[in-house]
Amino acid sequence: MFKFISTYRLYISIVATLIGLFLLMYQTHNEKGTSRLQIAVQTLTYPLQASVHSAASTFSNLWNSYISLIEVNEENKRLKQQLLDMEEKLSQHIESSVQFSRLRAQLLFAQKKASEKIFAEIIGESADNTHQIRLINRGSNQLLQRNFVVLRKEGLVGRIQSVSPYQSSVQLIIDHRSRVPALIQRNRVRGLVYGTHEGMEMRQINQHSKIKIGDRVISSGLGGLYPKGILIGWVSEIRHQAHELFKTARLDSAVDFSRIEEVFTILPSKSGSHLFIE
Amino acid sequence: MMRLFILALGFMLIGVWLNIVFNNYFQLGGLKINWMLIFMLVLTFRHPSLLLPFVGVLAGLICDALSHGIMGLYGISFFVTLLLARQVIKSFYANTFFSVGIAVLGMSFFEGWISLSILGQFEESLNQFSLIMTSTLPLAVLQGLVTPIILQSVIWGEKLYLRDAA
Repeated sequence: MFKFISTYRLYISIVATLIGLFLLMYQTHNEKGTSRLQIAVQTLTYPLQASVHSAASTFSNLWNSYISLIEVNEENKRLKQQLLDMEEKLSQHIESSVQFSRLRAQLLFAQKKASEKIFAEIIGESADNTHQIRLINRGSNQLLQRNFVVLRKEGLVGRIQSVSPYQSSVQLIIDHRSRVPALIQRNRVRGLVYGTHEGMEMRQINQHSKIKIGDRVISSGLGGLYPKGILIGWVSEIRHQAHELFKTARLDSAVDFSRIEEVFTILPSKSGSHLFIE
Repeated sequence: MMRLFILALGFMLIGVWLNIVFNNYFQLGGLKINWMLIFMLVLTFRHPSLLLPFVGVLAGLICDALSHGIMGLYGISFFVTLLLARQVIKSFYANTFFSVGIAVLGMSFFEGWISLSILGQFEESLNQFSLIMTSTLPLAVLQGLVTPIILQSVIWGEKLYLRDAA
């Protein structure tokens, strides 16, 4: 036995490594929480990312605010802010008219609860090209947990995929594994928003439903993961073949994922209400 | 052997830094170069020791932790790729900038294909062909192009650390 092991130790070690890795992979894939190994790696790499991010942000802010076009930059910021405010008001107006007054009290209640949102900065990206993941500088020390919803003022960003003490990874809604139950805001037609790596598609839309380019798509709240009423994007293209049971709509996302630097994470309400309108 | 291990570990850590920090600010064509893989491949081409695939497992696990979170996926693809690279080097002379670049291109493509194939087992809706054409292949070419820089830095590292090892 010992001679056998000694003779074939090279092959045995290779096979044992592969088996170990496969077992690890299946275990972490089926796990509900974040694996300890991942937590360890993210904790160790956090100072590296955070320090470089901090230095880069400081330099960038210094350059943008004090050296390069001070006034234009300030004005640009103000105008962008105004635009976002207007966009938000429009969103709230449409939502309020479609839903009825019985919901308004809850909506306003959810809106007022500032403590339910945690501000986070994006400090890194996925290490590979296949997944749309962003790393944020908030983790379990700030009460974040897996599957908490991440958003911006403009709309839905994604969900927390894994958490370590100081940072978390966020799966964007354009990641090809992402699925968000959604509805067309105008006529309440339901569907499922799939990430397609480059963008998003709303699939499983009833073939008889009337949707049009420019329709606003919001989260439906079904499934319990994403709260109801968060803007996802707008319909930019509609596809439907005669033989198909469902329509598919390509979406323009409300959030510009290539430029996001800060996000908010929603802490689930203790009251159990999933209703949330930003 | 110990010196090679420490050298590989050092280059792997530089690769980690480049992957998580440098890639965050500099991307060519929107593609994130896998610096860790290039370092490990170049080292394997220069030192076909069995130690390097095992260091590659560690590099792969770090990649896993900093991307999709399915621990072991890149660990397997790195391990298998580096084992294959050890075999390839026996029949393919890769000791010039050009030949190492070509070899890294081929091995990077192989690694991408392996990782996508494994990923496809978990995610049925994954469009593997599209990802290979839009991501894996251009990335492999890009990694082949930057390989001479990595090779030069590996040669410098060897001169600094392995010069009296022989």
